[in-house]
Amino acid sequence: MEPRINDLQVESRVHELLDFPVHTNQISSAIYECPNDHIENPKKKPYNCPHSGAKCDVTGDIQRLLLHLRNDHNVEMSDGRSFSHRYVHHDPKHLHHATWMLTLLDCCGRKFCLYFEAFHLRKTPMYMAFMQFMGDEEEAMSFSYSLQVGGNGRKLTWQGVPRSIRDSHKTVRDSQDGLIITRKLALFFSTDNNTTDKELKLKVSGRVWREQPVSI
Amino acid sequence: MAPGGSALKEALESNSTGVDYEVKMAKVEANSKPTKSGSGSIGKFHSSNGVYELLECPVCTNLMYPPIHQCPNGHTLCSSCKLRVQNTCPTCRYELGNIRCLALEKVAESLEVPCRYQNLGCQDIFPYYSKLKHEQHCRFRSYSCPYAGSECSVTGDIPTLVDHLKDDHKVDMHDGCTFNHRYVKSNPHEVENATWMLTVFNCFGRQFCLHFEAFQLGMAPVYMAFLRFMGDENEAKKFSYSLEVGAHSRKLTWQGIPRSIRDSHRKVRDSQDGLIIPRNLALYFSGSDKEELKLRVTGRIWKEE
Repeated sequence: MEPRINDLQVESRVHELLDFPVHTNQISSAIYECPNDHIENPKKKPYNCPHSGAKCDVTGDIQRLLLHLRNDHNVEMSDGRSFSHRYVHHDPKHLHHATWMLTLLDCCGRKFCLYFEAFHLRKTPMYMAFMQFMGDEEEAMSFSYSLQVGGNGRKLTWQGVPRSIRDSHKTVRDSQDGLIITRKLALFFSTDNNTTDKELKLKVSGRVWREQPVSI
Repeated sequence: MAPGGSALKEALESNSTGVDYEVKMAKVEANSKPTKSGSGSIGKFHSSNGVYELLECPVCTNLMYPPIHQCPNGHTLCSSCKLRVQNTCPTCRYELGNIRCLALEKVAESLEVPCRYQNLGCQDIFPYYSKLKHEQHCRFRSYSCPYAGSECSVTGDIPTLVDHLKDDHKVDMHDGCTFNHRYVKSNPHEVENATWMLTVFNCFGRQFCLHFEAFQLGMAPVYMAFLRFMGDENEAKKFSYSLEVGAHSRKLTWQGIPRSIRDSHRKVRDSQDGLIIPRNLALYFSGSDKEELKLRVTGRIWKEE
């Protein structure tokens, strides 16, 4: 099965506008403050559903979100130790914001969200792939991942550290913390050369691994 | 309106005062040129045959191609020089008119001429009208200077250009197949377009140019690093290179094939055939303050089996 990119187009732009700024950590953490001033461990704060392209209000711990992603968003799970996904984008000449795709990856019993997204960086059409860790930031930093695209004797590789899903996927995208591919290069890498500009078929391969604990 | 007016003014001025001077200059030029044409445009071994000299334009000394013009007295002239001589024959000063010299064009058709890059090693001989087409793609044709910082019109073979880059552009030459360069720019937010000093690498007995530029990809400010090979395209394909930038446990790597310097640096840039780094990412890799670009680019060149 080839993952297809959902074409949410204008819809999700509106959602972004409707995002109420109450979702910031600062304000929501106050909710967990009990009247006796006992501050609950922020690590136990529920996570938001990482399927953020469409408005989804579901929150919960990682186990609950995994079930929710599988059952309600039909997100598939792959082996994170080595993966290769082919993204097909029909009509790449008309690239809209929030044309994106989410896949789940498993590595060492932990789960990772792999995003592939089309967006405009100051009006320039780009694709971006990046990974987020389903867990807190501290643990996210013990992992690394790589993503690679290529073709015609060229390849572009990103190696990074997954960000926690505490960061919204928009935050990660805007900080450019991932593999960014210009549309021109993506079309150059497009695996099916017969269909030149008509359709984008981009193979993204990569892996996730746990970094050896650094002994000080 | 304005450009048309000024062009007319210029034309009138040169008509009243400039023509003599221009024609004299042209004649001097024509007289001083045979050394060049002897080695380049027309082969030495053909110089005994007067027909070839007939095909040389008396003004620019280049070979003439259709449409070839002549004045009522039969003095010939190439079409680009005809536009410049204000309708006066540079040889007899007679009014030029608009007469085509079809006979000479037909004579030329029967001739065979050597490639103009004979002195650079091309041994091929071509029918007169195929010669130009060949010369556009001749593998011995001279290269343009790969320096990207300013317009440079110098052309020549690779050893000539290497010397020219060293002597005239003060380009850094490095021996070896690996490199580690730091590109620094204060106030990176104020600079949308910049070309950094070219670096040339000497390895495998060949030269490679490392380019680093800032430009706008559409509206997005980016930096780009790429490599060009000083030689022709077929040989360029035998090499690969990698470029890497990174910091904070992240790194971005490009692996590619150097393009020949036959492709202009602008062309390579526009085809995005290299490592493109969005400015925010480049500043993230530069250090904590984000006020200054300090991007370390490491790389390697190798020969493919």
